[in-house]
Order: sequence, then C-alpha cells, then structure tokens
Amino acid sequence: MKRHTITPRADWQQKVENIGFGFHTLDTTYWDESVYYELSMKEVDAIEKATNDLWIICLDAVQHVIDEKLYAKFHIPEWIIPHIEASWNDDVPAIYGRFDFTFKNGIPKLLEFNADTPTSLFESSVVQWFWLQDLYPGKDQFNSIHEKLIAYWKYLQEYLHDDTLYFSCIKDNLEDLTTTEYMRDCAIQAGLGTKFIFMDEIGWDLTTPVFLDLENNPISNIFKLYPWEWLLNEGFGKNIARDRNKAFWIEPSWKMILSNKAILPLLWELNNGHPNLLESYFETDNFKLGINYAKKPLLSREGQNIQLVDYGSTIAETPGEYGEEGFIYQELCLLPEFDKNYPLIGSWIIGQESAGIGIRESETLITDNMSRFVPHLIS
Amino acid sequence: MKKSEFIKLVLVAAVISSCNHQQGKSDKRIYMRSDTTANYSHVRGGFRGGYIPFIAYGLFMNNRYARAGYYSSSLHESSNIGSNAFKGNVVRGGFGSSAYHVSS
Repeated sequence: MKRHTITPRADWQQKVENIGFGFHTLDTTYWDESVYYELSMKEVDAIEKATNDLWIICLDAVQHVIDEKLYAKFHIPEWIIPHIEASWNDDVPAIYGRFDFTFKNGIPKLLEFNADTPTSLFESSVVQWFWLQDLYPGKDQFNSIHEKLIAYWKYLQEYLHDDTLYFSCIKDNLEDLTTTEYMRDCAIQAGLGTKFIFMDEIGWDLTTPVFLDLENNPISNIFKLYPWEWLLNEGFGKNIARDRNKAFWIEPSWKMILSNKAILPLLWELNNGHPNLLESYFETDNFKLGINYAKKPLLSREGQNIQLVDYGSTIAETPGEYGEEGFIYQELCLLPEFDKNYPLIGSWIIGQESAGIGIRESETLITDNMSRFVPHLIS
Repeated sequence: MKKSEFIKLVLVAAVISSCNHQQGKSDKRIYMRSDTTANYSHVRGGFRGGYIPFIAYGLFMNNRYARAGYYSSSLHESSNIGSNAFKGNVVRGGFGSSAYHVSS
C-alpha cells in the first residue's frame, strides 16, 4: 500500500457535483483527491478473500446467537427478538455491509463491521470510479460496487413483497439523502418500482394497523438509512412488531446482531485464531488482553467513545455519547501511518460477494467524522 | 478487471439541488399547531433555518384526493392531530427524532 500526493483536477468540485456528489466539502474537505492510495493486486486479493470469508462466519455467528439466545450480550430488547428471528428464518432481503480493515503484516484485520447503515457508499462506488476514469483510465480499481448493487436488487426482486419498494432517511442531511437516493437509483436500474419518503413522514394507521406513505398507501418494503437502535427507541418502534403487513425493513432486523460490536468477541470465541480477526473479549474477560487494547462501546457511531491503550497508556481517545450499553475490548492493532495520516479500508459486501473498497484517511489513530475520503487504484 | 465496466445514474444528480439546508441554531421557542382542533406545543429542534415545513395531508378516495389538512414533523403529534377524526386514524412523526438527539 502506497500513498501518493498529486494535484487535484482544476475543476474537481464541478466534476463531482455533476455526478450528484454535493457533500464533498463539509466543515473541511471530505473528498480529498490531492492524495490517492495504490494497492497491489496481492493486497486487493487478500481484502477480497477476507471479506468473503468474514461474511460467511458472520452469518454463522448470527445463527449461533439465535440458537443460543445470546441477545442479552447485545443489549437487544426482548420484545423485538421474535421479529429478528422471523427476519432471519424468512430470509428477509439484506443488500450490503462494510467491513473496516487495517493491515498487519500484510494480512487484513477486522476492526469492525458496519452491517446496518454503512456510510460512504456513493463515494466508494461512483465518485472514485469517475476520478479514475478521468485521471488513470487504463488503471484498475477494486470497485464493482455499482454493478453488483444493480445485479443484487434484480436478484432480490422476487423475494420482496409484490409492492413498491420505499427508500427513507432523515431530512436536512445531504449525505444520507445522496446515499439513499443512490441506492434507489440502483434499484430503479434493476427494474424495481420505488418511492421516497422521509423517516418522519412515515405514517401509522391506528385502525388497520400498518405503516403508510403520505398518500396513505400501505408500506410493505422499505430500505431505511436509519439505525435499528434508533428505530426501536422511537415512538413507532414497537409498531414494527405489530405491523399487519409484516413489512420488509432493509437492512433486516437480524442485522442488529452484526452491527453491534458484541459480535467481535463472539466471532473470536467461535473462530479463535482466525487470521482476519483480532482477539476480542467482553468486559468480564478484558484482562486477557493485558495492557494493550482498544476499548469500544457496543453501539457507537463515527468513532465516538473509543479508547486506545498501549502498554497501559492511553494513546488516543474520543469523546461521545455512547457506552451506556457497555464495552468490548479488542487487541490493539493500529492503522498504518503515512506522513502522519492514517488510512482505514472499508470493504464492501454486496449481497453475498466482496465488491470493492473505499479508503478514509484521518490525522488521528481513530477514524471519526472528520476523516477524508481518498480514492485508490490498483498498481 | 476489478472495476465496474460502466456507470450510469438515472436519479442521483437531481438530489444535489434539493434539501441542502443549513441547520440554523436558535434558542427561540416557537409554539405552533397544524390543526385548529389541536393544542399548541413548542417546535422540535428550534427554529431551524428560519422555516418550519408543513406537508399537505390527505387520502385518495374514489379516484379523488381529499385533503385533510396539514402536518409538520417539527411538531408533536398532539399538535398535528387534535380531535380531527380523519387525521386521528393515521399518526406521523413516530420515526426520525433520534437524529435531532445525535446532532445536538
């Protein structure tokens, strides 16, 4: 893996806006094409294999959690458990996830799995692809996310309820809206009938009882860019279990198991010594890691409330609002450093297949919401 | 090759011109209702960006659209519905509030 500094395209803002990328600059630069990473095919093959292998053991782990009723370890409320089990047993469609990796001695190591609402999809799939076509059209990139999304929506069509597929996210957030509309774009190209509705516009019919759109049409399939733990805690949360239509929520509720960091110690317990896993434990066994570890909340977003401890000293720590549900402890494995920049590899699983990567770079060891998305190519 | 052969977008470019509102910060407490049968309550999230969106609210019946009034996600359910029987069968705004908590 090499880092290259280059001159950005003179009109790069216009170029990325022309393809629908409006959040290239947030408080600071988010899309950073003054830098790119070069990966060898050997590294790409290793990431692809790790992604496919981890996906299989993740599915096995979900089955284990369901069989052994381990929901308490995940702080999942009891009332949603029947919904989770039904969504798993009925094969409710799931479409994507993002494994976050770092390299250790040339081997990808899983830091966490964003299985419910992974961000940076549009940047990974579209924006860096057009960057490559502009600057290095003869080069390759580990990125077939777009064609795999369309292909998988086509595949899923027969597994959805025979009705419109809704897409939903919160208002006033261009990043979420772009990601959601991009996902919808792929579904449209796959031939699905779609509509958009904001999360707070979703209606609940007290008499039927079903979820409704703004014209009071029932909702029976809905892709939501909205975390399950938020859904459950809100006013309509329990209606998900009461819904007479049994709407398909995508990602499905069984993804709550994989998007929770409690999955990391469980994966380690079930696959001790797996080359792509880091040794991880629940709080009761954290002593096994000694004085080198990463402490992470079960539920957190944008790198909040993470502590990195090296030989007993905290070397990085982030504030935040998470940790109420408890923490897990993971073997310390630092991101590689390139001129005081730390890249994190987000590896996409689309359907059942590894589909490509996006790289976010930070100036700190913990990747947070100030990180920059940087493109890549294969040497 | 590891990259997509071709990328076409049919929808996304239109997104950029919609909904890119800056979130204004204000301590003002504004009290509103969207139905004359409802009580007033203060606007959630403050007076964000200098406006409060309202959505026309209705139902298609016998191939005709019947308007029942308006609804705003910035208002509490009790200020959106009141004793309006038509609105009372359908409630909205039960999802989407966590985002306020996270960003504030």
